[in-house]
Amino acid sequence: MRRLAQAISVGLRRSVPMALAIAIGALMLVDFFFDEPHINALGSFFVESVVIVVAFAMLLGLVNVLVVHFRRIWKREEGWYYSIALVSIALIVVIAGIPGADSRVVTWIFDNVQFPLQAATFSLLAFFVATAAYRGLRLRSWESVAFVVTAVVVLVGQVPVGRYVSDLLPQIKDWILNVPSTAGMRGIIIGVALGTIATGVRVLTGFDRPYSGEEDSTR
Amino acid sequence: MITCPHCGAANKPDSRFCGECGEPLGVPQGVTCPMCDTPNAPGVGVCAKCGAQLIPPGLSVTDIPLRAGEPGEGALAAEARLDGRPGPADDIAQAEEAEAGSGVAEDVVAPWLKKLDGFPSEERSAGLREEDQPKSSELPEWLEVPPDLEEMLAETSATVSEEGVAPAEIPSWLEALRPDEEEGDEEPAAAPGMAEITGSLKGIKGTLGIEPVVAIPRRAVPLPVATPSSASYKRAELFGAVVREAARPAVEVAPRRRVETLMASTVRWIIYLILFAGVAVPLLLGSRWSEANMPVTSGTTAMYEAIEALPAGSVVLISHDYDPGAAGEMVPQVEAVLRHLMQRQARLINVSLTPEGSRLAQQVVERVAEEHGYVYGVQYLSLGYVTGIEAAPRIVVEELRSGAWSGFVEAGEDPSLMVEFAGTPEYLRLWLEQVQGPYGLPMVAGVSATADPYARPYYRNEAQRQLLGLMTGLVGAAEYERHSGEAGLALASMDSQSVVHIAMVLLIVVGNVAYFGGRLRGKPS
Repeated sequence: MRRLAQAISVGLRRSVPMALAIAIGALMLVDFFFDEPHINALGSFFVESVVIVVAFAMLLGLVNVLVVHFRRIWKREEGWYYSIALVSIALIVVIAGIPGADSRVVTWIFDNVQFPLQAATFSLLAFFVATAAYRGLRLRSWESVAFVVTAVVVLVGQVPVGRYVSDLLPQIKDWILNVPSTAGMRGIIIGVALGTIATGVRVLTGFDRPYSGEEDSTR
Repeated sequence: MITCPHCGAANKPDSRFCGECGEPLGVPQGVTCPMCDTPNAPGVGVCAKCGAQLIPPGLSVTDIPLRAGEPGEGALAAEARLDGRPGPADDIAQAEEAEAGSGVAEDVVAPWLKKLDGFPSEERSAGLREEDQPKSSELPEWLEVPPDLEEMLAETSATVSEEGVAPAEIPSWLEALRPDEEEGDEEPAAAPGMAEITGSLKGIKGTLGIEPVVAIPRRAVPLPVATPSSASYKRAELFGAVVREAARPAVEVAPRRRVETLMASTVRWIIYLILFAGVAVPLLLGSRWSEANMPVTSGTTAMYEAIEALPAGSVVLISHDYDPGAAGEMVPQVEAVLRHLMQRQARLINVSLTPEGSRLAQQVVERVAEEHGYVYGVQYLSLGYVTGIEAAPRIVVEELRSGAWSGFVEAGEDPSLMVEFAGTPEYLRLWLEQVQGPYGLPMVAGVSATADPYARPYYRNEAQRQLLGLMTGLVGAAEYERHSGEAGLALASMDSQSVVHIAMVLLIVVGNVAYFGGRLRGKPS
């Protein structure tokens, strides 16, 4: 009897999520392709539910981060003092944001801490790229010649001064961006789309169960 | 357990039919082997297990000719045990004839006996060395065949047939001498009529046993004599010398000379200074050279025209999906487009799929709105950050259509245009897949330079017209300003950008000159 109950329990744990995923997936697919008011309304309901689930997932993520770093501090693991900084700043932002996301403290933190830090980090990329241009873009092979020539043409053709180097440069730059680059990217996009369709079909038919929490959900 | 006489499968004792092949089981219908007591199917002449000749029901042992190779005394004893009668004397003669090979088919010989064909037997040995054997006249008396042997046998036979004989009891030592085929060389599956009971050959009879294939080792083949070349000897000697050599301390990398370190550091700082000067000097000088010389690409022109075609009062949905890292090129784009939209008297709804984008957009929108006298809630809205990632774009459009902001947008009224500002391609893809495709919303996009290659296929798709216009990076913003005739931050930055681009090209050239110069001098790069 106990075995039977266990078997039913295991079966339900697998089959119920799978049935839900397949049913809702099929419903969303029908909602996407057909203009039927009742199904569209049901589809909208599920989409709204996603927003709520994602919001709770973010909250859960925050709690998880705090728990992990509290544990590091408690056990004095390597770099635990960085965890103190993380936990204290996270708590400050959370508490400051309780009145609302537009509170003065939150906006001050964003304008004077987050924005300058992120912008400065990204700006450093220009210096790294310049150093790489000097040290890395060497004409070692025919492939690297093609790469360097393309980079030079796009760099010069992109800015107004390119017209004064040659009238052809902006046109060649446009051709590079519109034809070879777009063709390659289009191939990637189509490949990704086909992969997405295949994954969708596998989830809809129950071959893949990413929602099951199993390490290898493919059966 | 009952063994099926057809397929050899084991069945329950009370089974009437085989669970494997469906043939009837039942000993009464078959024949029990006189040698091993194995039940066999009716009509089978040879035991499926041991290969012994079977006696059909209704016949006695005397009705069956003795086979060649039958284990004479044991078989006779067994036959005597079966039907309770001793064999007649003429059967012995038949057996002798059979042994001589006259009138007996080859296939009735038991398999275990067939194997002995290749080996020298005592009889053959005796035959071969017949000349060496002592003549019958030289035999001792006790070995000589009495002349009245046939009469004695006839009498014995008659006596036995008259009195009857109890089944012979085989002593245990004799029983132990009975050829046991299961323990012998014979593979059970190879017995004639025996079917395979497992595996892919299940049910097939007469298959070759596996042992002869895998158990017999290949005959040893002598290897060809190796004749190593002198080069091989040299390599072997070198290897031996290396192995015998005493361990040496690890190779020490020569420390970089101070001058080289200083040079590398200096070059790096020179590059940084060139870059800084390229940005700062045109800005400090207030250069406006690009304002008059900025070319405008077709994508930016198309975006401008899509906005220019909007009637006054049109609802335009704007999404600000970028972070501070891309703000340097995205904010000038937003400013240029917002100015144009406000000049067209469009009603603007601003949203963001990133929390940072919401804050960045708020600053720009409020500044430009103040410049143009736009009133919040009447001419523009800021909905802020919308959670939900993939679900968020659809939620926004569904809410707009359902009349959630009925004071601003009438229920059922779709936005006339969707403007997406994407710092990374993922957000552009979300809006294209969730809104532009399903709702057929006209859409234009301003993207960062890194997202341009991803966005361009959608703009170049002239059949679907997924993107009506495309503006890329700070250059795109400058083009838009130039096309709209409103110089702003982007055009002011273009001279700096031109200088930096030229500097980068020069760095590439100088780097390659240094590289090839070093190679000519024989130095590593």
